[in-house]
Amino acid sequence: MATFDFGLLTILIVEDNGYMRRLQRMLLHALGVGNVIEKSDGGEAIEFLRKVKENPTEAGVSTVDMMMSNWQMEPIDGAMLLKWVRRSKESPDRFIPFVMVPGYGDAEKVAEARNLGATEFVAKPYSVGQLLTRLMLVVGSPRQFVLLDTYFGPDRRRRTAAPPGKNRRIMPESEIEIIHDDS
Amino acid sequence: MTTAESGQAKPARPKTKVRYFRIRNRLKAKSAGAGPQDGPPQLAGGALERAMKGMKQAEEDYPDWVLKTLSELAADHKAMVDSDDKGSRHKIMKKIGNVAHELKGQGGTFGYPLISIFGKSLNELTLGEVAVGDNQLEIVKSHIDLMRAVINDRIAGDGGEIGKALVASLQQAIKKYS
Repeated sequence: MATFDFGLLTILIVEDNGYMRRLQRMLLHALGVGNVIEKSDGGEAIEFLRKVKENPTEAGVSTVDMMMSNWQMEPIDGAMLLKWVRRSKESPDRFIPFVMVPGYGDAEKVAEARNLGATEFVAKPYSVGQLLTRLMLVVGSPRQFVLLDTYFGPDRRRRTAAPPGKNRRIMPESEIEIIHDDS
Repeated sequence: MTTAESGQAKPARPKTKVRYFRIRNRLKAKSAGAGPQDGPPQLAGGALERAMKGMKQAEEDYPDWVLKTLSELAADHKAMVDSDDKGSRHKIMKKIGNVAHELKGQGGTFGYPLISIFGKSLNELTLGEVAVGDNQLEIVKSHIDLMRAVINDRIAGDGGEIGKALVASLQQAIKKYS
């Protein structure tokens, strides 16, 4: 049985709700995550991530391994933050796993989050088990990233079976540029 | 004149570029525990139990936290009632909206979805062009009273018939004072 130990991971929580932020930090620490960094909106998170890229010593970390962000925040919300992470040249890691954690009543945003390049989605209220499942998926079963004219993010097709509707993936794999990073 | 009419060949559509990036799984390497690395994943020593215990504790603390927050909201409401100044009423209303947003986000997590429903409704009341007349203050008060009732009576889940009655009474208050 594969055993996970998250002690070496650094996870950035972006959540404007103080109570939820503290709860999330407590749960991640309890699940064994070694370093949890908290920011209270997308703007603060962007500022921090810029610092990680430009001056890791001042930022206090050299890498952020995963992000978990609320959706509704002001002035910069989770969707804008995700767009910045995936598309901005200033982003320290455009491939970083990004778990969207929207609030009550935002569960319908799952498709939007997916099309912006979210890695996973777990709506509040969530249980410890649901949170752990997302962590395990991010760590244990990452997906390849896809770059199209209109999309950059984790492969939105998780299954190998044919899609239920029209197959819109018509380009033969021989014409797709495949970039491997084994470094 | 269209391209077809002119007899010219239609310019080829630029081909869509597709790239797949297959990145080495650094997170898995970083998270490899001491045990064997094949088979279904599991967490190292008692982590899940610790997290469940922490969540349970947070659930137990939650009603006290909400009651404290509602007392602060009631004080804010009173400050608005005591003030004729529109500017300061707006300022307090904005503060109430932020607290309501917090309440909205937590209720469901701790087994009180009615708090999320009332928190969401109160938060929406404070968005955009907000009126701060006496009627709007009555609506704010109804929200605070109803949330207090939910916590005092520990009305967890949807609250069944009582929950329905509380939601209906909020709707009536909004209708009456709008």
